[in-house]
Amino acid sequence: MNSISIKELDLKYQDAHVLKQLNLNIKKGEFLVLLGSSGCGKSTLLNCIAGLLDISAGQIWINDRNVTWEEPKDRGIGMVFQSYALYPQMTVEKNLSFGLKVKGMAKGEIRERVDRASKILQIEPLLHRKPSELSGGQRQRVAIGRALVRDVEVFLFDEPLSNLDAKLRADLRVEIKRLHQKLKNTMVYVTHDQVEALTLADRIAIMKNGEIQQLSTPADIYHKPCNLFVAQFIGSPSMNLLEGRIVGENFVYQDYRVNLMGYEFINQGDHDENAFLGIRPEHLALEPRDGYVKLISAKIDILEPMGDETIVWFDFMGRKWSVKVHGDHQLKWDEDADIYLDPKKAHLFAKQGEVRL
Amino acid sequence: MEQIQLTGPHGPKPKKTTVSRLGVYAFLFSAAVFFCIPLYVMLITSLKGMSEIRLGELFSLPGDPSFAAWVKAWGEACSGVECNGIQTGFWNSVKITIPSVAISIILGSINGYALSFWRFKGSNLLFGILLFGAFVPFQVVIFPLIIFLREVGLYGSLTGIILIHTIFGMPIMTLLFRNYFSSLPDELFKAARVDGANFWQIFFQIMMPLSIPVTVVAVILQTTGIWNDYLLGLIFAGRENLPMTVQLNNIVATTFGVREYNVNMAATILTALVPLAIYLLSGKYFVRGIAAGAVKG
Ligand SMILES: Nc1ncnc2c1ncn2[C@@H]1O[C@H](COP(=O)(O)OP(=O)(O)OP(=O)(O)O)[C@@H](O)[C@H]1O
Ligand SMILES: [Mg+2]
Repeated sequence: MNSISIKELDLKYQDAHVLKQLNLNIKKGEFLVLLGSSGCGKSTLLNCIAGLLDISAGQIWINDRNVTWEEPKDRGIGMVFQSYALYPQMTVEKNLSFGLKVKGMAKGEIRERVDRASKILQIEPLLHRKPSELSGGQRQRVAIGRALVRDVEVFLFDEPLSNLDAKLRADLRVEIKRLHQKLKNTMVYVTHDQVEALTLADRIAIMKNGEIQQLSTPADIYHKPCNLFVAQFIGSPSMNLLEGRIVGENFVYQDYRVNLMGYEFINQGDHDENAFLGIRPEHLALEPRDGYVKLISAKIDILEPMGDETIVWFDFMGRKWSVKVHGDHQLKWDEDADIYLDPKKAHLFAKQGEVRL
Repeated sequence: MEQIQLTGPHGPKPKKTTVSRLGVYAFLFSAAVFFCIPLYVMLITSLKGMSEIRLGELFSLPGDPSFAAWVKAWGEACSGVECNGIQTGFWNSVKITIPSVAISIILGSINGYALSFWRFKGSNLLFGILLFGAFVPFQVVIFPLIIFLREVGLYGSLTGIILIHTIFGMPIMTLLFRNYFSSLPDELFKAARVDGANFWQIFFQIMMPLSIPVTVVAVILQTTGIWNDYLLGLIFAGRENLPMTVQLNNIVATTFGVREYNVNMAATILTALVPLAIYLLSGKYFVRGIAAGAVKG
């Protein structure tokens, strides 16, 4: 059963076509992350779902009800904003209860809901403070609380963690995940942080220029990116690329030949075309391993030790290549190293259209 | 632990009195004096008796200070044939200013709020027209307005002059509030909409409490503007409701009998007292409000 269903959604501003014939079905209880670079239309899509923007064409269904022309308050959604958007002049308690009061709910019930939400989010001691007297993380929690008291099916988050420092972000990320496991309602979460997306999502929708490129589980997105854009967008450092040609069983690049035994093509059969070969830094090695084939030998350009692992950068035929190795690898700058590759973990994309082969 | 001796520049940078700084102080001081001298002359003249004034010693302190001139200015001075002092004008001005200020600010803030958050079809055009209105010299529209007010039967009435002040205050008030509301985060408004608040609930419960600084600025601008108005009051208020400024002019310009400079000075100071008090009381908020608007655009 679908919790949110977006059909042929179009959104235009006078001069910009921001969302283009977008279709998206979100299942009940699903945690869906909208991931994409800045300006690709994530917030716009979320605002359309919430009813805060007038759409140009298409339909929006929430809980099997066509809400296309309905007011935000009637759609059964709660929303958490990037800037928190707490009402500055109201205490935390008033912030939480404002929506309920406006609705005309009985005092007792308001109390109950505020109490329950503040217990879940552990903001009980803060109820009588103003937003300006809270830390960033606490504000974020209050903002979530405001959606929580509405007791709605669908939660919409617009980059709720992007204003926080790295440590707090990691903590709150876990809390949001826990909250979802507890409440089991549908969550749509906008971010441009791929770690957030990969850790939180049941499914990720990767967007570019107002179009969804791939909608899939985090594992699928990571292991089987459907096109070159998705492949490069996910992963840090991003995927290494070679431009060459597939000839029979081999990927040929100048005088190099990579045997593609074990690569799972989408279309079986003979391939003979120009293509990109992509391989993630973590799927390369600097020593021979089972199933790996030697790719090249190159000079180490830069070493980036990160504690548990080290990123080794090479200058390879005018392109920067990176390899992730274990942190206690003894390597020196300017040395030559052999790079090995696992063809099963490689990715092939057609030169024409840049789609996965 | 051993104390480390630091050589070279360390700690807070020493403040130096430079020549340019002295120049700034000198300029500020002379400007202050320049503006204070007339005030000083007015004040001491109002405390002198007529015989002392006739000596022509403009700057000398009064030998026998008395508030007699003030009392006379307030309650007995003559404008034309009536001799009730400037108090009638004062109360007229109060009756004109308070409703005009309140109504123009309320309407201006609603306009500004609607224009910045509820973008409707033609809202930009409406704003453009209002902006244009702010720059139309009001002499141009006075005559049509007189005809309009006469047609609706409000010419020469208290309601009429209040309406006129409200109309003339509308562009600048709308502009002020629109710019302030535009500087508030859009998401605040969105959050309130998701919470289910309607047009008026968002205005009264969310936006109004946030607009106190700009409201203070608006009160100051409107109060001083309307209190100091002369022309509109003279034209539209009617004989019964002439504001204080008009009456002050009548008193000062009365050619009947002796010119009582002390009474004129006192009446002038009395008239200027309200705007003066407003500036002094709210100066801090005024600066803060203007600055807040400036920084946030
Ligand atoms: N009011 C508007 N008028 C015209 N264009 C707009 C308007 N609002 C947004 N856009 C454009 O729509 C596009 C999508 O904006 P949106 O805010 O959805 O991006 P986003 O994916 O949320 O980016 P970010 O990660 O930076 O928040 C942008 O290119 C933006 O310039
Ligand atoms: Mg955004």
